Amino acid sequence: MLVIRDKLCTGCRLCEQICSMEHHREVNPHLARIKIESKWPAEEKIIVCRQCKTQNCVKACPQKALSFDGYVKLDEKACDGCGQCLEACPFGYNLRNKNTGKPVFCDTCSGNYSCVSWCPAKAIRKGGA
Amino acid sequence: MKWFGYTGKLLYINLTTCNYQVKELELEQAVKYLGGKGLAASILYEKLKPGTDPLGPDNILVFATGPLTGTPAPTAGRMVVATKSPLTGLWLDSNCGGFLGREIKQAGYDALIVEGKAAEPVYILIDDDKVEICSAANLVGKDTFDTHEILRESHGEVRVACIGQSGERMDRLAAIISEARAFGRGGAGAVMGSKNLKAIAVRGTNSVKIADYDKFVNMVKEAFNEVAINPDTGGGRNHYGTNVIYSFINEAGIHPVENFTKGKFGKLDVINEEILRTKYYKKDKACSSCPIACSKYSVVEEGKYQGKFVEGPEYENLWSFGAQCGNSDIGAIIHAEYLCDAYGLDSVSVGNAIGFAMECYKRGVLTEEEIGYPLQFGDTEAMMRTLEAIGKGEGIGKLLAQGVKYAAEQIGKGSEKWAMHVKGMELPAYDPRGAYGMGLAYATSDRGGCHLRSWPVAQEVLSANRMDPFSVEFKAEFVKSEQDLISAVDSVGLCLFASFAMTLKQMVGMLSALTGIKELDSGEELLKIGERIYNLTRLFNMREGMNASADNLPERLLTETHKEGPAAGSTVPLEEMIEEYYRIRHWDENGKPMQSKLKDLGL
Ligand code: SF4
Ligand code: SF4
Ligand code: SF4
Repeated sequence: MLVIRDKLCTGCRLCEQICSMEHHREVNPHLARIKIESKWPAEEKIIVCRQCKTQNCVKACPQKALSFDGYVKLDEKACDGCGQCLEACPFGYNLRNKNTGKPVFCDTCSGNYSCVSWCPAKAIRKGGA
Repeated sequence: MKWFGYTGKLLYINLTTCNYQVKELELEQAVKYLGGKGLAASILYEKLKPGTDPLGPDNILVFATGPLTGTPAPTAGRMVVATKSPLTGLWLDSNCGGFLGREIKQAGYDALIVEGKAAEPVYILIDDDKVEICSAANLVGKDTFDTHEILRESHGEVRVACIGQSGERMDRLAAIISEARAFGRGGAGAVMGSKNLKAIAVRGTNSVKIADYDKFVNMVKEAFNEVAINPDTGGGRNHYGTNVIYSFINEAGIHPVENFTKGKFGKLDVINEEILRTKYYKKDKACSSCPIACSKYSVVEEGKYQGKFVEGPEYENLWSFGAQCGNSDIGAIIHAEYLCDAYGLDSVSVGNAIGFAMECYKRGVLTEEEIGYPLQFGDTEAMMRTLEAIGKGEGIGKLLAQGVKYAAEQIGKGSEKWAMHVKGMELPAYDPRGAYGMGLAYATSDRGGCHLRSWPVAQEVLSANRMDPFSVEFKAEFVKSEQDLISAVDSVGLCLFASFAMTLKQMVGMLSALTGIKELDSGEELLKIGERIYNLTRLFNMREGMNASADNLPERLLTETHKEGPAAGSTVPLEEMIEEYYRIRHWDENGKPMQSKLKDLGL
C-alpha cells in the first residue's frame, strides 16, 4: 500500500518517469500508473491507486476483469476499457494506458515500490499494511 | 537511424508562409554539438545572415532540448531558446527549466526552429505530430498568466511558453515565460513579439527511448546520490533556494548596493535567507526530475503586499529589487518578481535599470518633471511605480524597458558611466571589485553581462578551498574551463546547479548509456564539445562586428572604489586577466579565435 503526502510533493514528476520505465523500459509519463496533478502555484495532487479496503473498482467491473491480491490486478483480455471501475473509485483514481485505453493500476513493482525509493521529497511511502 | 535519448527530428516552422517541415537531425551534429545551446548555435551560425535585424522577420528563434532533457537524470528538465539578441545585437541563449523541454521532447522533436513573421498575432499548437498555427486574437494584450490559462482551457494539458505585454511591444527587456519560469535574459520575448508569435503550446505523448537500460538506470541512481550528499545541492540550496548565498555574498562585500556604489547592504537584519525560509517560503517546488527543488513558493503575510505571492524570489531578484534599488521590503520584492513574470520581463535587467534611473535622478540627470515623481534610492513605492511603468510601456518606463545601454544613449549627460552593463546586457548581483574572476566572467560572457557562463564567486568567496578573490592568478584558466563545461551542460539538458555536484564521468555515463553514442562516453570529449560551442558563439559575435573592445566592464568597476568593506579600495584588474584569457583560449589580440584553434575544434 502507498501512503502519499501531497504537501511534500515538489511536483518534479520523477515518479511518473520511473513508473513508466519500470514497466516499459522507456520514459513516458503517459504510460505511468502514477500521476501528479499540479495546480499552479502550490497545489500538487498525487494520483495513484491506494489499494484501498473498499475495492469498489473490483466490485464495479461488469467483466469481472479485476481482482485484488495485495494490489488491483487487471485481466487485460477480459477488460473492454469501459472505465466503470474508475468511476467507482472513491479517490477519483482515473489513469489509463494511453495506447490501449484500458485502466492501469499500481502493481507495487513486484514489491519493489520504485517510486517510493526514487521520490526525492519522500512524498510517497510504503504503508504498513 | 534509430535514435535513443534524442528524437532525431527538428521541426522548422515558417510563420510568413504558415508552413512547417520536419527535418532529420544528423548524427554528426549530435556528436559535435550535443543539443540545446550547441545545436542551436550550429543552426543559427549556418542559417542566420550576419547583420540581420534582431527584431526583423529574418531573425530566427530556436527552442532546443538536450539529449538528457525529459529523462529522469537529475535536473534534466532544461532547454534553451537561442536567437540574435535585440538587447546586445549578439548571440543569445537563454535557459529555462520546468516542463516545456520534456513536453517538446515527448512531442517528438529535439528542437523547434521558428522563422519569418506572421501577418497577425498567432500561437503555435503542437500536439505530437500535429502542428497548427492558430490565431491569437483572443490572447493579445493578455499577461502571461492569463495566456497560460486561456490556452489550457482551449487545449487541455498543454505546456506553454508565451510573452506578455512587454514582448508584444518588442521591449528589449522582454522575456519568454513558461509557467512562471523564464527564458529571461537578453530579450528573446521581444523577438517572439516581432514575429507576432504570442505563444507556443505543446502536448507530447511519445516515449523517450533508452539505449542501454541497465547502465542508464545505474548511472542515474549514482548521480541522484551525488546530488543528495553534496552540501550545496542536497543541503543549503534545497533549504534556502538560490538565496542560500545571500549573507555570504553580503559579508564578502560583493552584493552591489544602489547601482554598484556600495558592496554590502546594511539591512541584513530585515532581509536574509533565514527570514525568507521561516517567514515566506511555503512550499518547495521543482523542475522536471529535480531533487534540489530550489524553487520556493512564497507568500507575503503582512504589510502593504499582504497576500501577494510568487514562485521565488530568486537571489538575483532579492538583489535587483532589493539592494540595487535600496529597498528592503521583501513583500515588494516578491510582488515585483511576480509582476515581471506577468508582463513577461527579465527581472534582473529591470531591477538593474530602475537602479540606474535612481542614480540618474540622484545626480539630477533625470528630473522629477521628466519622471513624473521623485525616484530616490530606497523609495519602495517609487520603485514599484517605475516597474509598473516599464510593464505598461508608459512614461519613463518606455525608455527603461529598452535596457540601460539604450536608455543612457538617449539620456546622455554622461549617464553611460553608470549604466551597469556588458555588451548591452545588465549586470546581475555580484560586484567583481571583490571577486576579480567574476569581472573576467562578465567581460567574456558570450551573451553579455551575465553570471551563468562562469561563476567564479563560488570559488572566490563561497567555497572552503577558495581562490584568492583579489588575485588574478588562475582566474583566466578557471573562467575558460567553466565556460566550456557550462556550454556542455547547457547543451545536454541538465541544470547548472546539478553540475556543481555531479562528476564529468557521471554526466557522460548517463549520456552514453542513454543515447548509445560511444563518442559521448568521455569527459574530455564533453569539455572539448563545450569549448567548440563557446568558440562558435564567439565566431557568431565576431561575425556581427564585435571586437575585443567589447570584452569590457563598466567604467565604474575599473576606476571607482568602495570606501568600506572587504572590497574597499579595489578595482578590477581586467586587462591583465583578458590578456591571459585570450592566450589560454588561443584567441589573438583582437579576441578572434586563431585558425589553429578552429582547426583543432573542427570548426
Ligand atoms: S517523485 Fe515525489 S516529489 Fe516528485 S512528483 Fe513524484 S511524488 Fe512528487
Ligand atoms: S482504484 Fe480506487 S477503488 Fe480500486 S483499489 Fe484503487 S483506490 Fe481503491
Ligand atoms: S509502486 Fe511501482 S507501479 Fe506503483 S506507482 Fe510506484 S512505480 Fe508505479
